[in-house]
Amino acid sequence: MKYINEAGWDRILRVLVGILLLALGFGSVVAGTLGLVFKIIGTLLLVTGLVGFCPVYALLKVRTKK
Amino acid sequence: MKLAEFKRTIKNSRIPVVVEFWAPWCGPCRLMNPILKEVSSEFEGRVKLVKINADESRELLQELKVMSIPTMLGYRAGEMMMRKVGGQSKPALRDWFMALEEGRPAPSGLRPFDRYLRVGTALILAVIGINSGLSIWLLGLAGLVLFSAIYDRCPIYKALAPRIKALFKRQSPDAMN
Repeated sequence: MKYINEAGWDRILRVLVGILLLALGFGSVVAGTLGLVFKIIGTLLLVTGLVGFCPVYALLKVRTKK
Repeated sequence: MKLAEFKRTIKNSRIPVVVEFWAPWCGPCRLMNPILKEVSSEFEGRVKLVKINADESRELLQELKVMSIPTMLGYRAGEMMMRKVGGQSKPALRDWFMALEEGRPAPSGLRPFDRYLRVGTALILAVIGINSGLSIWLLGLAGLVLFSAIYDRCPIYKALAPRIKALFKRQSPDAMN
């Protein structure tokens, strides 16, 4: 698929970090504003990892996928 | 190409045939053309590629119910096995050619890596969701991710998707007027 600009390792890493941040945010380990930040960043990382497309990469014309 | 000539080509071929309907003015066709040539040369002698200019073959378009281009049809032993509409990437085309050659069903849009990644993520999210006091958000997210992993095999989605797409297609010309 043409839109994919992340390599496999990049996607797995994003998904793992995303899950970790979501678990910390939703699991009440990190509360308050930081918890909200964790939830937002976690969701973004998870979505970009699962879809394989990173808009920031596209803007900067960077690709980890060869 | 005339209908009789087309039927003869399909019937007489000993190897599977991929028929591509294209037009000189079609952007996706032009984009896909070099990729299609490359993939076709990889399958030389195993899968035959027949390119048909849609503008010059109206009769064929009607007969085969080709509504938009590029459209690719896959034939084995004279029988249509697969149909793919729209521009395709090289890996998708390669999978498609391979499936046609081996007589397998047409591969879905989702590659195995994507499917496993999504199913794995959904399971991990569900486990975390259950462990963190049945978090509705995490469980909902797990459900969404799981659906995105299997939507193309879901019979309800398969039944509803064409109807919803048709509904949008029917509405779009009205919206423009």
